[in-house]
Amino acid sequence: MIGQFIANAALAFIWMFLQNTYEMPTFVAGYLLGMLMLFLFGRKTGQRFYMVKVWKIVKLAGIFIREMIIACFQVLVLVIGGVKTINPGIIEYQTELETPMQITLLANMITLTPGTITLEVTDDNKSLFIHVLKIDSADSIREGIKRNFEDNIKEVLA
Amino acid sequence: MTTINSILLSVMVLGGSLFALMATIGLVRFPDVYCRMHSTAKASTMSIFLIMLAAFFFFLADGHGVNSRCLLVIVFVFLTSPVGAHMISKAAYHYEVEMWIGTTYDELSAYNAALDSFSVEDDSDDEAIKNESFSVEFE
Repeated sequence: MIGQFIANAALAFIWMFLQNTYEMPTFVAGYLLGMLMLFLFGRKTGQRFYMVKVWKIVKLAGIFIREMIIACFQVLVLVIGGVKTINPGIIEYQTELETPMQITLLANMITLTPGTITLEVTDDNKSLFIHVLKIDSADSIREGIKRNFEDNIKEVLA
Repeated sequence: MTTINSILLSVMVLGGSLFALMATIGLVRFPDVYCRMHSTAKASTMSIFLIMLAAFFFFLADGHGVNSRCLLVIVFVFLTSPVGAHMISKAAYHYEVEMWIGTTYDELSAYNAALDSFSVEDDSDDEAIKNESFSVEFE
């Protein structure tokens, strides 16, 4: 992925030298053209086109921002509703992620999204313990985390 | 600055202030430390996100160019705030701060109990060894 990025930037600089204008719009145009070239000829090298991965990162960020906005309004409602409306508890979430980087990302994302805070990661990195502000059904919370975050993180940081 | 711009930016700043206010009210109203961390971790991050984004777009629209520091503030708050919330609630749990009486699930205590019953004998030995090696290092 890094190699393709450097190749793309080099193509953009070559485009700038050809045009003999050293400004941002020319660089962007050259970058887009270089991206097209990489897309057309990159498959000969057997590597995956790197913008696919960039798109996945953007998608994960989009899901994250959306969930976070939902989370803030949920907490807003719970703050106004007061103690009667909350139903807190700690649930276990068994993760399939393996590397420390993936687990850190997942734990941080859990903390910033709907009514959940990561309380503890077990020593064997197998499960996270999550404090939830309002538990309607523990399984639906686990399902939501898996669908929104875990599957996407697995693709981004493979 | 057109009117639409200033209306949008005002909405963002007001929204950010609303979330900051809500974080503070939540800090007072929620019953125990774990629930309180919810309101501080999420709402305050969101409020800083909105206010800094509004500042960024204000300077952009006003002709001062891109102010990258506003974006850096957002990035660092997003990195540090969840870690802080996690560490505070983890420390509270390990110091056995009591949970609110209405707490319904606690799967962590069951896990810890199972872990303790496994390794009661090994634990004491390990700690003794650790302490010994520490004192040697310091001398």
